[in-house]
Amino acid sequence: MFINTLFNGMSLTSIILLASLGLSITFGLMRVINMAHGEFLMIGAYTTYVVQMVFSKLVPEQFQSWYYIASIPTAFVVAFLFGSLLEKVVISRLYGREIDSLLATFGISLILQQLARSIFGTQGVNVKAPDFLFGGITIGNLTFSYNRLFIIFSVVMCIVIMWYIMYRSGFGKQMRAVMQNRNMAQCMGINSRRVDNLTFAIGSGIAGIAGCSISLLGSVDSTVGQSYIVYAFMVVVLGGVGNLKGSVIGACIIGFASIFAENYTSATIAKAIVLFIVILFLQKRPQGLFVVRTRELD
Amino acid sequence: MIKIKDLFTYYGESMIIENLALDIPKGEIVSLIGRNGVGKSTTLKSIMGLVKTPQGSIIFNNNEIINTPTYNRVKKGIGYVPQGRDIFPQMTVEENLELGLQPIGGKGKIPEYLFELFPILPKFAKRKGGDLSGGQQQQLAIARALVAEPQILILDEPTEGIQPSIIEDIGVAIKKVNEWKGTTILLVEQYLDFVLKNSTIINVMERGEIVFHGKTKEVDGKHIQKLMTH
Repeated sequence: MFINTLFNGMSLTSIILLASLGLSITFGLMRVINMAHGEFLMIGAYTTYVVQMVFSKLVPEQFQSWYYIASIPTAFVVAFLFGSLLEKVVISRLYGREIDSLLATFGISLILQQLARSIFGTQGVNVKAPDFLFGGITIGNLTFSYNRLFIIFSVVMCIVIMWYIMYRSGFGKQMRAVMQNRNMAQCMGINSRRVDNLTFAIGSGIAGIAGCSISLLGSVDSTVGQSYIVYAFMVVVLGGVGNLKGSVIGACIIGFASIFAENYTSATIAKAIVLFIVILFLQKRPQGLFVVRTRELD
Repeated sequence: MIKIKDLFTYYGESMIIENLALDIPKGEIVSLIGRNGVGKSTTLKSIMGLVKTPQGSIIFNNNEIINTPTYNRVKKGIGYVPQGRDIFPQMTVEENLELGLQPIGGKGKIPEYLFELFPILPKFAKRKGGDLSGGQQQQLAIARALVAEPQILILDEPTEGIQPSIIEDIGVAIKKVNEWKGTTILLVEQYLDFVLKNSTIINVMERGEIVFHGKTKEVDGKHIQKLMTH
């Protein structure tokens, strides 16, 4: 029972973490409260559906299960392009105006949802899990489903890739410089506008991968991203904005607390308990788990 | 090297710099001194493109740069050390220095002479910038601006809040960079002794205008002091 709850907690944690990773860098780096982040999950989920449709029409039957592998980079690219466009057309004009960007992205969220309803209809569509994700590993009387294990694996991969981009690549160095001091980053010859655009697009692309994963868990409709957006914001605020380690720990706290509370109470009470924990924590530590510390000037 | 003509700079509605003219000849160590709030730092920010300059001209190497974005001004060969250093606190000393390679495409090696000028830097290479003392941060900030070997190095109050022995080291480093690499230096300071000791041309600023200009070796320190306290 405990092991099963732990596995479910890990599974929820990984989904929340995937949803919040992109938000962590866009919110952390650019201080943009992107209310349309959930819709990038939706774009990723619908992209997975479209790739599945394309495979079912064009690819021989024995290779059709591979649609899911193809849909991961496709979801990233489609969400990345949408993110880049959104940043260029709207967000870039609203830097430093948090309330305006919140309202604008909320409007964009509604437009994207309506666009999805117009294209795919109001009924949810189903993404069929590929053959290699059917079933699971059985240990004793416990079964660990392959698709949930696959989601956990995807999260680990995403974290490793993001860690590499942020801490080992040249672009990551530029990104962190802009995050820590925008003006000074420009004085080092960094085009901060380009970094902003690419960062927002990468954050959106990662949300697209998250969408690809959640499409395995249920039907995909225009509101699929909304279920995760509140959790994602809670993770980012709890972990400390712009901090990868903080996001991982924040997601663990929220994911495991949700599942354990749900196990002993009900889903509604579990949500209230998690929210209460977050509020209580932020009362004591409003800056989140991890903050940038610097030595005062001598 | 840099010629500023008819420059006006505003912060919102307030005019900070009015009709400024300033000439920074190649190979010199030019200082800009004056009391607090006369527009010295704003002049440097105007050169860097960090504040709005709706009117005027800034010529760098015979090219107008008034509308050039900050990052491109840096790529053209202007290095900048702002007041308060602004090193990247969460990055290591090594990473801060590597960022200095950005103006030349992020590739290449950190010039060895910088470790000779500032021996503290290789010693603390893996330490986070934010964990260094003020003097060490200042040395890091200067070295970082020099990594890409700029044609001109702009320093905003490099002695502010720094202990005397390190001020001495910074003065020596500025002179050596000027001598070894031919780098032009533009220095904003309030510490008159430092300016008299280390610069070759002195400019006194008052309410957004240059009120005195002369070669340092020809000026009377007392006269400059009087102008600054006027």
